[in-house]
Amino acid sequence: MARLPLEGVRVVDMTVVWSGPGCTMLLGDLGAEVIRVETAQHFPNSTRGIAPRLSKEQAEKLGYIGSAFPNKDPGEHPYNRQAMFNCHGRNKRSVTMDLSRPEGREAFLKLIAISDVFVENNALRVLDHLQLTYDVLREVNPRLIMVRMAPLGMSGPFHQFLGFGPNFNALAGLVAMSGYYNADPTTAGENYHMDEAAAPAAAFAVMAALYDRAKSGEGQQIEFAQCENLIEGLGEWILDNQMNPGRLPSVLGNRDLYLLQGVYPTLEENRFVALTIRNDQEWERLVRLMGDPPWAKDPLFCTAVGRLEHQDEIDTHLAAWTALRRPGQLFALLQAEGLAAGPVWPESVALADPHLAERGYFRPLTQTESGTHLHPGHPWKASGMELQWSKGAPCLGEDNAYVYKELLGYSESQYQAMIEAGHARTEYV
Amino acid sequence: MAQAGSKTQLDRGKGGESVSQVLDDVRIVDLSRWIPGDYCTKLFADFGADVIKVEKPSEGDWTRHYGPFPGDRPDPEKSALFLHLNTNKRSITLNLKSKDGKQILWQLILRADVLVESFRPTTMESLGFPWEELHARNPRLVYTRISNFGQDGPYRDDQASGLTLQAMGGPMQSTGLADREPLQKPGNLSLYSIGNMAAEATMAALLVSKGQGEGQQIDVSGLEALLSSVDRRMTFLMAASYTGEDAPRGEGAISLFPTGAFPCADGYVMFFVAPAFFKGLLELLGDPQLLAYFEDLEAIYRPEESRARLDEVLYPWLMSHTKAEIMELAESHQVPITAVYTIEEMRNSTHFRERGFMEPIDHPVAGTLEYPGAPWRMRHGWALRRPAPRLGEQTEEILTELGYHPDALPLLRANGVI
Repeated sequence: MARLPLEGVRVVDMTVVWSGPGCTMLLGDLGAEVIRVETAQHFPNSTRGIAPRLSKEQAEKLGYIGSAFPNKDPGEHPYNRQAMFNCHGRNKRSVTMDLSRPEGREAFLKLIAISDVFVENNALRVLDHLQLTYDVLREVNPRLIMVRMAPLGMSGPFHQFLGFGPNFNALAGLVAMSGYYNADPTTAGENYHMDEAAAPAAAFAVMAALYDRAKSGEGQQIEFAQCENLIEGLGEWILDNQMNPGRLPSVLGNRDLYLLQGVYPTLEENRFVALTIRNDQEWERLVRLMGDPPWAKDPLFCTAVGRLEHQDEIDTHLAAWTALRRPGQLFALLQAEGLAAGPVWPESVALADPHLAERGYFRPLTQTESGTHLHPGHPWKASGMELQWSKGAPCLGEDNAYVYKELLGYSESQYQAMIEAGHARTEYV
Repeated sequence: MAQAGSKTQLDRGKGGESVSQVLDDVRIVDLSRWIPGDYCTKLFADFGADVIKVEKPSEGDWTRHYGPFPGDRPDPEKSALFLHLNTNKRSITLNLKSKDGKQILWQLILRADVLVESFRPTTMESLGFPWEELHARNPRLVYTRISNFGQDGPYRDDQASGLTLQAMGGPMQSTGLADREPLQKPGNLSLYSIGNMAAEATMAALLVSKGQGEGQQIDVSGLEALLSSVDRRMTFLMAASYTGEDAPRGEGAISLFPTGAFPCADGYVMFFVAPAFFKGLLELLGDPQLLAYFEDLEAIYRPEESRARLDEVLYPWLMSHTKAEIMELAESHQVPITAVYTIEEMRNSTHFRERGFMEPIDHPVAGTLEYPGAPWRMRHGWALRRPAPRLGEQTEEILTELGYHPDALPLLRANGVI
């Protein structure tokens, strides 16, 4: 077995919500020591949950995510038990310091001096106000790789605009193509695709910069404009808009430009099956599977173009057939005919799936205040290295003593002073 | 105190080497044929790697046959999807079922750092390229295998499409409206995500190969890459593991706080008014009665009633403003609301123009088009060196590099090898 590629790499993590933490999660999997720098003076909303203090009754009224704690109990420290944080917190450490005061700033700069990478995805002004920009940090550590995941980049008329993933999805052109077939974007529901696209790409960027540093000896700042990274996933529509001047992608919902596909009901309530028919042979196999019903013999349905033109009619018939069967039964029947079909999985079904169990995708992990639970696992497998899977998400300030004393060399009395001054804390103020 | 300016396993050189693009010393042989593999190797190619696409003679990559196309007329050299996904790559055609084709592929693999494939599992083994032999003959080789369900497990040989993978792996069950069927993400986004994750994995294994000299096999299951997405699915899986409950469809994460697209005078705007911004929204709307209602701190624990009160004021206000006005006003009140741009509005927006995000390049068949530029900006970073290759455009060039004499090519061509 090889050593993990980021063994010996220390990452200072000042990320919030999903995109940045997703990036540092991947770096941690690869052996980096990821240290979240947090501030007990400010509760980071939508990162460690929705509120720093919550009763069980209040939590229940905050919807699915708002109450996503073990046994739906927020406990004394809800921010240490939140699914939205604990899902991506594996392998990471947490230290707290108040960066707006001199002793907190000094500790932070000491940490930067002994680190390799600094990842942050706050609103740009946050680090600007703290005067913790690359120019300052480079003086402390010229080998530092700093990643600023500013959604709209660090220049341009909108670059300071405030927003979350969906806001930038909208500017990217993604939202205008979203929604049910022929419906408008208000039907689209939620989408945080910018975050999904950013996490692995930013991890790639960090590795590329480490590779560059190994050759050049120098660190650098990476300007990771998350919105532009997202737009890479829309490239074909950008070219189409030029090849066919002014043409915009149609709102296809679950349909496809060329293939018959859709999402159909099953015998079970709120359970669905997705199906794509890729060619005439697959269509014929589907018709045979359904028992050669007379409606399916219509010559209009024999070609791909005909099936798309008459999809409303086909969908009605298909839905009537699928609605009599259970999702698992449809999955097996359609796959047995070599058709691309899959049930739409609620989380509980994924958690119990035999294929994922055999591949060991979900794995138990212990979080200090949440206990031991199955967690979503590594995104891929490697034959030659053991990806890191050490501990659950860190509680707020869980590693204060380690960071201040072992890493930064604070004496016991210096560390106590940081506690007394409210820098090193394990609860929000 | 820990060592300052730590050295990692990669840092063996003295530094100061000259580099034009960060990955310009990386060689990749790319056997993939669809969006995940194409996007994986595009990231390497755009940051400097020499990516050789090995394509099936007279057919080529599937993305050549899937549009959109100019005038909707299929043309393997004019597919917008192919042109976008294959910038900076070179193309050689090879019949992998022929003896000579296999021989040439071995030659390419022996000098490569990375081999990427997205065939059905076991295809590479039956073609005569099992991992054991690849590893034995090129111990440094990173071998990235992208598949729907992974290289083992009960679903290994099952069929899938972008839609069905998203249905199982993505957050689809909880996307869309409560009283309708689940809804996928638009375009080909989930397939890009699989490619993105495959690129991250390949880069990690490449660092091991370059640093320690050890190659390895990477198994990217599209299903698992999507389950591992921070776009809700990981959070929801964790939540279900904690509570036993599945994520609902058609409710905002927090029902009082407006999120999602809303109609306005000339189109749509996107709201993400998380709790911290709610007060700003009330101030932006400027309705005294509404402000008074929300002075009661308990109002947030009556989400349905409170939301109804908000909507009475919100909708009329939106319909009396344009998306540009709303975005400017929201920004001045520090409330996250943005315009919903079409692809064309995005292309022409002053923001992306002033940043110089798009970059034009001429393609001999498709003409000059503007392509999306750098996904991120770094030293020795992204560059558009050449447009996507025509099918087999560099076949001769690559065979010459391998030492084939030009006189040998006609026979290979006649035998259907290239």
